Amino acid sequence: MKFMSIFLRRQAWLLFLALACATTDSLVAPPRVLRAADDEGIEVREERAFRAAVAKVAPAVVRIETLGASENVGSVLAAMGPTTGLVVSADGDIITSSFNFAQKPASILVTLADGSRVAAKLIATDHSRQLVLLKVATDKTLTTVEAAPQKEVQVGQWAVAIGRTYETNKPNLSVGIVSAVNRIWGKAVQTDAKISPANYGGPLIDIRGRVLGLLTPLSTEGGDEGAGVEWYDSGIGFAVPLQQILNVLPKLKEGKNQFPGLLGVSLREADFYAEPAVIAACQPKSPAQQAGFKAGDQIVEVDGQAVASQAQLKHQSSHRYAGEKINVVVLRGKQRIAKDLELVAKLPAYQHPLLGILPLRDATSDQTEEKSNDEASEKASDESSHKSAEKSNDGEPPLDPNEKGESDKNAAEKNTDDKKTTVTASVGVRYVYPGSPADKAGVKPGDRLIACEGKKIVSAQSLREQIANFSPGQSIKIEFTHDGQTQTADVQLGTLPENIPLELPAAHAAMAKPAGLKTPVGKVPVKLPEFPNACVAYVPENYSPRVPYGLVVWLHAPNSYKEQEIIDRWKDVCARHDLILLAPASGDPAKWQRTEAEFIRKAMDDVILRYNVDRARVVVAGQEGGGTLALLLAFTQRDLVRGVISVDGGLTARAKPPANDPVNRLAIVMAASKKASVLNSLDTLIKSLRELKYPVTRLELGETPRAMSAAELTDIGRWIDSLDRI
Amino acid sequence: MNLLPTTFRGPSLAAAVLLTSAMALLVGGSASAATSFAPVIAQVQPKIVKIYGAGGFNGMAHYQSGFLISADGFVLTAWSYVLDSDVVNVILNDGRKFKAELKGIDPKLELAVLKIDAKELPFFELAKTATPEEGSRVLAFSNLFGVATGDEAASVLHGILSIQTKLEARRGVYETPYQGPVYVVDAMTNNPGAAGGALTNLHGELIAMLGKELKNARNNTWLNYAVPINELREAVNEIRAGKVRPRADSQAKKAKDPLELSMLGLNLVNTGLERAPPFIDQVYGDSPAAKAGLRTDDLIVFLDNQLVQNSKSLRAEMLRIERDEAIRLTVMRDGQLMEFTLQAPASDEPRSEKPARRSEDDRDER
Repeated sequence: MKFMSIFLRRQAWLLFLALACATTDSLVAPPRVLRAADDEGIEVREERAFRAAVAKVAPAVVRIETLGASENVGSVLAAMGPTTGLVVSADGDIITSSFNFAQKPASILVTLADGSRVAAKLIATDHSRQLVLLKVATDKTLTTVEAAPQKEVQVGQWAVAIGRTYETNKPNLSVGIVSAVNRIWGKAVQTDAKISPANYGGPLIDIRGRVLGLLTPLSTEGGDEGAGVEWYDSGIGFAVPLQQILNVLPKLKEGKNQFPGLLGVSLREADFYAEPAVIAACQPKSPAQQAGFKAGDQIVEVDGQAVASQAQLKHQSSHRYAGEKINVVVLRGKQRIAKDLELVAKLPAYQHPLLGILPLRDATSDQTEEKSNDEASEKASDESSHKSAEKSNDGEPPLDPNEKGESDKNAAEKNTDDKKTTVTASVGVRYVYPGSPADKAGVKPGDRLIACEGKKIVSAQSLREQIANFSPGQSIKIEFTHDGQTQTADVQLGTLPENIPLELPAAHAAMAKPAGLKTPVGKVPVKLPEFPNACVAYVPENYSPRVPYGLVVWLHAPNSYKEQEIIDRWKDVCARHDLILLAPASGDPAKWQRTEAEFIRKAMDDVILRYNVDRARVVVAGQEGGGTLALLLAFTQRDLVRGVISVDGGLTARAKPPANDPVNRLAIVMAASKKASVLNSLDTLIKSLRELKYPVTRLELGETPRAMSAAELTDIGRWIDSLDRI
Repeated sequence: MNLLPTTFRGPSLAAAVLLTSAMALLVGGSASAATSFAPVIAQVQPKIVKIYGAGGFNGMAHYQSGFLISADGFVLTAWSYVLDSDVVNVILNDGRKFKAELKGIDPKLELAVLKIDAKELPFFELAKTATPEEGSRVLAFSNLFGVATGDEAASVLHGILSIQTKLEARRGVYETPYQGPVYVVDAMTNNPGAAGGALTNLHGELIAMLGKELKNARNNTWLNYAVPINELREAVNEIRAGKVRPRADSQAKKAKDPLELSMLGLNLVNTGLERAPPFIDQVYGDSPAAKAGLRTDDLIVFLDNQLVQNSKSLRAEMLRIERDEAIRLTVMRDGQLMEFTLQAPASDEPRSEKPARRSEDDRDER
């Protein structure tokens, strides 16, 4: 605030200087200027400047009302009131925020600045910047505006936001400064002027009446119309630079909807700031895959701009539209590969392929698995793969499953060498899904998978990652040992099963509880100092750090947090399927708050830190409101949650399932009783999840909502146990 | 929240020095420009009072704001549950505490006049008020959130006037008994405890009284508004003169003999659904509607200046219009908007004399 006043006054000071110069130049001070200096403060002259600026653009600011919009239930800010628009061509093109059009109104009525009313048609939507182009039929020549050159816009300069929502015959304004430029991945300027439905769709102007941008709610996470509305009047408002709008206007005028441009790569690290930006997987049929990029490639340049981190890649790519061509340079080993590719609006929904086995979790491959998580960030470069090769002196093979070419050969040779001394460079088969590709290829429980597409298999995790680069239906070559004999087979990959295996053999040999183990087992309190919530974990009594455990979080139904009861219900399942249970309590016993997701995440991280948790089997489950929160957690904590179980819980109106992701797998169980209130919306939700190619298991839970029975929990236990399927 | 320190610091010292010295150079030392709000604020603060009364439970504030309007202790404030208490205390800017007497209220204007037993107080003269323009800077004085305690002066917020508008222009959107002109401000002025505070211009001249917290039902946004003193003056003077204000009914105004569409010679497509769009079904020959040129299948989108969302809201809006008033219908026909003015023929029954057409403003004040 203090900063603001200093800055603003400096600008006003410049204005004053300009005036003063004019007077000294002529040597005769015009009396008007003198008078202004005499009895008017700078504040007063600034006010006059605000008004003059507003008057300059006001003729191009129109009011927009809509009719026949479908009812919007449950939304925080239903866009029913009038909003604002800005004339961008003399013959009737009007740009506005898509905020008012989420409900697909049947009629759009525009009141021009002169008070006349005209009907408007929606011509096209810009889904990247949340804008809509309208066209009104008019004989009049409409007033247009001048754009403020984007390069001249400076943080701290005046910004006046204009709407035409309170009255038709005059605009409403709010005054602030430019808080930041190049926000939302370069798509917006930020202002502290009050921005709300009262001026969404209107212009943000500078003190000279030039348009800085068009006001619209935006969110760094993207999202659809209305994302970012929660920031209304908060001191954080966004405007899309007019120059950017004018650039895309010809396309919008042709009725072509604009979408954010997608590349189709999944990056390796959950940490957004991780360096470098290494591709973990290219989605099948994506521009990245078609350009020939591969897992393990490091993206180093986009359109001549160096990319050092995952964040920089996002900065370089997120503001681009589908259809834009970009040049991407990747580093593969020492080789630089540059490709031109065209970003697309929509990627075909990614579907995970299935070989059809569950891996054995013998102690050695378990360690490998852990390593592969820990060292994921190092896998990419040559250097680090050497590092891991060195580390593998203790009997573990090097990790990189994705390397090709020269270094690959070396690694493979090393693997072969290693194999002479150890047998862990393979994945043991615990279970074969009946009818699966592996079953058809003759793979049997007890066999060991040793190579895939000519590459040695080093761990279950790396095999999963490797085949994630293929699509269901594609054929891959696998090599496995059966009764000491090496066999090869071409298998056509299938899709992840939605049914639960009826019976599962043991995942590992019986493991005695190590003597003198200090790790607490049984009922373990989990206390995070910064959160008030009660929370308890249950760790099977025979816990061994050599066994990888699944983690299941149980989010109780409203008013039903009974610690011991929950533990008693899950105890057997935990013991049978190597599961650790985490049972947090909601702050308000009657309901879960969305904000409690943060606490739950931290509690999960805490357990993972203290116990040997298998990242492939991390599940959040919940009943009713707990189920809703479980879904929310699963959709937002993609890097952690691999399975979600919702019992009689639906999805809140504004939560939207994200696109499926090759690296971060997610399987879903929707369980509902016949009388559950969510039942009506459940089929729609399941349908949309299946369209996104998530495996969804549907469970019927009898008539009325109740806690899950022992038999149902047993099924759930086997489902969780099977989540490390390959 | 946007809380400012009680003394608003204007420009930095450096800027102020630069500015004044430069101006001294250029205009011969006659600079008297208001480079800081501080002197104005210092002059206004003694007129602002803190009021404590009922409330304090369920998160409801038990305090609000007010300002002195006479040297002998008349206080203007907002009428609210806070004053609905046996003991209402007024704390002056200097920390002195007085038990206040409720002199009178006007529930429709949401104002109350209190009296404390004191003398020689600084005050705002209600007769002398300022009328700002859109874009003018304003200062809002109030004890929002009760931050000012003990001897502390009220908080000051700085903003600009967004627009002068009328609450009634958006009927059904705002849940408030007050229907009339308001100043909308771009600062977060209307927060718990702020109601009854003063809105002034940069010269410290009184403009308006801060309203209560008010939500726009259409988009769930909060409205920061103040009621112009011009709207309140008469009621305050009457209360001070001891006149009893009639208790205005807070019900929405309805016409005595409302106009119906059939009187104009048209009816709507009846789908049995209240939310159905108001398409014209039939236009009767020789009726005002037919003469004006309305046709079957025209979609009514505006009644006068009011957007018509559906058949139900059209009927609700019609209830406010007297039978003998002319109306302006905007319809959509083939994607084009067309405007028609209609008036029902005089009824056969004898009627009291009334002007044929009143302006919107008149109608709302009736």
